[in-house]
Amino acid sequence: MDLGNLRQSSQFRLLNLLTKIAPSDVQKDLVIHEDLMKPIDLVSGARLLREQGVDKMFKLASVAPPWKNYIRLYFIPSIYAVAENVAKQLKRHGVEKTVSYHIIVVPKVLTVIHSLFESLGVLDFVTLHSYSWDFIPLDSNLLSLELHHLFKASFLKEENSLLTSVAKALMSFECLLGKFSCVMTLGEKSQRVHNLLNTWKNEIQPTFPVETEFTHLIMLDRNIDFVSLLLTQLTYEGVLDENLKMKSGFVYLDANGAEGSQRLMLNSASDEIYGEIKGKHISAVFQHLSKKAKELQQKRDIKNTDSIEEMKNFVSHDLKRIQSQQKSLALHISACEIVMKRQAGILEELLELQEDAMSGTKMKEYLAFLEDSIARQFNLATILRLCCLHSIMEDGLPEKEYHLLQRQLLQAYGYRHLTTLHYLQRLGLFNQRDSKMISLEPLLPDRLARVAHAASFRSERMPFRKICQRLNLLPLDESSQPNPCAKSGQHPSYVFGGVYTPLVYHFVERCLKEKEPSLGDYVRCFGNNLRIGDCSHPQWGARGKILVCFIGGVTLAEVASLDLLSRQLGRQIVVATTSTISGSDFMESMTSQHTDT
Amino acid sequence: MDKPEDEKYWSSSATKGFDFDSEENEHAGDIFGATPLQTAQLSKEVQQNIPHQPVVSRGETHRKLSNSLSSLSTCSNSSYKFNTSQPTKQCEVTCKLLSSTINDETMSNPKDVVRSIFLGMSYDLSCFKKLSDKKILLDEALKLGDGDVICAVLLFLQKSLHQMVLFPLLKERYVAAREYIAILEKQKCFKEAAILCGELQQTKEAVVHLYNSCFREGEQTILSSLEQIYKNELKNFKQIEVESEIIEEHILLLERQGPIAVTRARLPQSEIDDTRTSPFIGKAVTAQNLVGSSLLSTLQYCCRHNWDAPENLLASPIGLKKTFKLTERQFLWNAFIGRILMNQDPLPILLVKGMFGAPKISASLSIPRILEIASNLNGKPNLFDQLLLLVEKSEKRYQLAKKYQRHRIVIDVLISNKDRISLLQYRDSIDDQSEIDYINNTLRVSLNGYEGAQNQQQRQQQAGLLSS
Repeated sequence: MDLGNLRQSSQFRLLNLLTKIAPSDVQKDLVIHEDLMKPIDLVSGARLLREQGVDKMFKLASVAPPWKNYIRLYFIPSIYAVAENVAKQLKRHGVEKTVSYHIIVVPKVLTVIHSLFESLGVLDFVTLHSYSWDFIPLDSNLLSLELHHLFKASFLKEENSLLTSVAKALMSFECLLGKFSCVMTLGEKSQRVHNLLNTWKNEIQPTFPVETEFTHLIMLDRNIDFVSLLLTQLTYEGVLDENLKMKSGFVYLDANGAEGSQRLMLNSASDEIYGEIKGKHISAVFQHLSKKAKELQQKRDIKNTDSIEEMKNFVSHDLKRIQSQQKSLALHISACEIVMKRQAGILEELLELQEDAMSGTKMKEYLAFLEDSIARQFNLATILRLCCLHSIMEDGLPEKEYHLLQRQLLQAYGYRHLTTLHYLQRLGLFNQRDSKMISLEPLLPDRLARVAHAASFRSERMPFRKICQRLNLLPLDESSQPNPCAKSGQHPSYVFGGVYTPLVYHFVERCLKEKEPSLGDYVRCFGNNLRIGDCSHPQWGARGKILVCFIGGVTLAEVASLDLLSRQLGRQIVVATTSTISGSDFMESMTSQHTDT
Repeated sequence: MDKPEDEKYWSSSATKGFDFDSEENEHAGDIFGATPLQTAQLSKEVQQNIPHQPVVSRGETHRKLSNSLSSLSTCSNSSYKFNTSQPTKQCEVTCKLLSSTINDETMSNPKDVVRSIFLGMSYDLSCFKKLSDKKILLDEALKLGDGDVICAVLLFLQKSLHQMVLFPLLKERYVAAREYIAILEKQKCFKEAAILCGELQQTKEAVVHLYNSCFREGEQTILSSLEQIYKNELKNFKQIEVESEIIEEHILLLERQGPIAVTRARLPQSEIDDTRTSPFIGKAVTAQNLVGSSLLSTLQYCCRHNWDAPENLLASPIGLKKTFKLTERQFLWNAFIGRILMNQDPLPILLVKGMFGAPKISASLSIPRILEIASNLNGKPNLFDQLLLLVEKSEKRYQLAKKYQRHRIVIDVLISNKDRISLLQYRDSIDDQSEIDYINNTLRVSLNGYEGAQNQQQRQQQAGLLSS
């Protein structure tokens, strides 16, 4: 399988677009939005852009850059507020007959954005273009569309415009790597994407390669399993993402990600050591690193005493590899140091609390901790994660408890977070227990409002703890002792320290059961949200590769659990996602005052 | 969506009745540039004029049509020529021009139009004039399921329907309503969004939209906008008691923050930025960013700078506590942090009298946590000593004292445990000479005492033996 094809296809389309705008011998300036810099770098790299006549490159700022050429390109995500700023900037600039502006919107020029440009009267000198890349390979088993605003748009605001782009990307994937014969979806958005994918295929009638490597497509919505997002990830890669914020496969070792600071590329294909430790439980990482350091040292020492001939051979072959490994080793060690420094004295306590939340014990102490920490204005994202975890596992909080926490949160972190709490409530993350709502239903004025009401909230949903019990996702339930496999990495719950098995692991495992998927429990838990493809298809039993697609983002801990499953089954599982996501990142985006989509 | 290319656009089925570019209409601009009203008027005039005009000889069957046509040409003085080879098309055009009723027959199939939008082809929605047609169009878009297509239709409905008509339509279509609320939010039409949420029975969300609208114009106008929505808008919604209470509290806080910040800013010495912080607490605010900070940050600020302010002043910590009905725990933590940041002794705030008059920590704050924060904030050594003495279990006290290097307490615990070996080990691990001396002294004294006691016992035993 060559995931590199995906990159080439994205590259091809980008270069095509650029030449369509102006031939490569015409110089052009390029302004690029911060979020797109890394992905574009992964898709094409600066050199290819230069070959296409891109002369000056600027980062998008609130004021226009010092232009040099007459053809000026903007590269922006399909976020309304960003487009609005650019449009207003251009409006101020006014018309110069010799200058033409081209705005490339990723992944699509949405109708609202087009009508905005139209209403500001700038379309005389501005042309809008859509550009969407294919899934970008971030690692050997991880593909991402890097559409970080999709979660908020689709799940929070319930705008579904970006889902078409996901469907397109999946179609493109099929065109390159073969058609999926078995498709399963879990969640409303996944279903929608699947429908759109079929619509696209009917419209375009593309040709698919005869040989298919990928037989199964399993799609899930992020909101099916929020617990995996809220728990602290305990794999090496997960910990790095939570603490250093991975951006398109890179982390910066300087906390602020300031320019010039050391960066670490998290790709096991280019970094052997990373490949070895990325999925390990953090408690085993340092041990591995020090072993590795000793090994490398030994290799050097042994070679030092060898003959000249061998020495020559060593210098020309092995030395470079050892040196690059040593360099990456040093980077990983400093990454560990930064994380350790940051989590000192906090992590242990948090893990204990999470364990309590999952098992539903010591709830009084749990609430006391929350109240106490809120009074001190302890890190808001951490507190909200604990509040949400509690609310999900208890199927909402009792009215009194909910109002107490709500009030204290707002008093401590600012009343403006009324909006944050509302968002969390909309997502079903932080709720008041739903007794009133149901009883109110018959009082609502008309039938349609009631339908809307029912659709708007997950009152028809099974409580998450029940789901966990039915699907056996809580290893702690069986014996109150933490699972002995928790840290060894034999049991999928190791990614969360043995307190929870990621739902996706269980779901994929069930889907891939020989001959026929055994999903009876899922039907009971998720009802209509589950769609199983045509089981009679001859490919069902085939042992092809599996693409697991997350709508709304995947955590690296979940990826690690699927990696374990892939090893257990001896089948390759590749994860495709609209973006990678971590609990800390997610909460920060929820609490930020800018929730533009 | 692509910019509609002119050719495609005009040849699309939706507009095929008109053909502006056709060569035969050279002078057509004079006529076709008119508004429907003008054409209607013209048509009326023409109708009136018919009997008075000389009738041009034509076939009986086409008399009416040719009458009007010829009258049109004479009226407008144009050299318009009737093309007999295409009578039907011309008929349509002319009838349309001259008729006073506006033709609202939909000419496009909604399904096709929706498909064109989906595929990024050019499209025209203007032919969907009737409400029923609009409904069908919207339903087709919803059926297709692409959010952007739904948006395109909604933007058209926004322009062409009154809110009074549009909202009930959306109320019956939840998915479309959500998309529309998102559009309104982008367009910064928060009030409309709130009304629609209200119609959907989501009053809490409606309040959030209104609340968000207050932050649009920058910091200066927040207070007045909040007051405005509190007084005028919130009453339109039901079941929002909690939310309106919160907004009321926010107003109350902003009313205080302004004056507090101003008094501080007037003082001559400017604040030195204190960089002391702890991972267990939030960042302290300064006079510059006090306005807009949270209630507890404000409280902490007042505990730093206005500790002794009488209760009737806005900046009084106790006043804040009472006005906002803060819990003891909320007050104590912030008072403690505030005092320690001002290098004052925070202990009196934390202590209350226990059951038998012995001091204990109020609101059962955790001593290890207090110590941790005090250590992060460089609290004074004697604070640690005093706090450690309040730890009941000696084992715990020993651990904490060791962690914060309060040697005397460690030593005292070891002495009371009579743990000679640990004491000797500890002596070797520390540098502080006075503490080493203390250990040595204790050892000597207790050693003497121990040996003395042993000697006495031996002597007694010997005496006993002797007497027996």
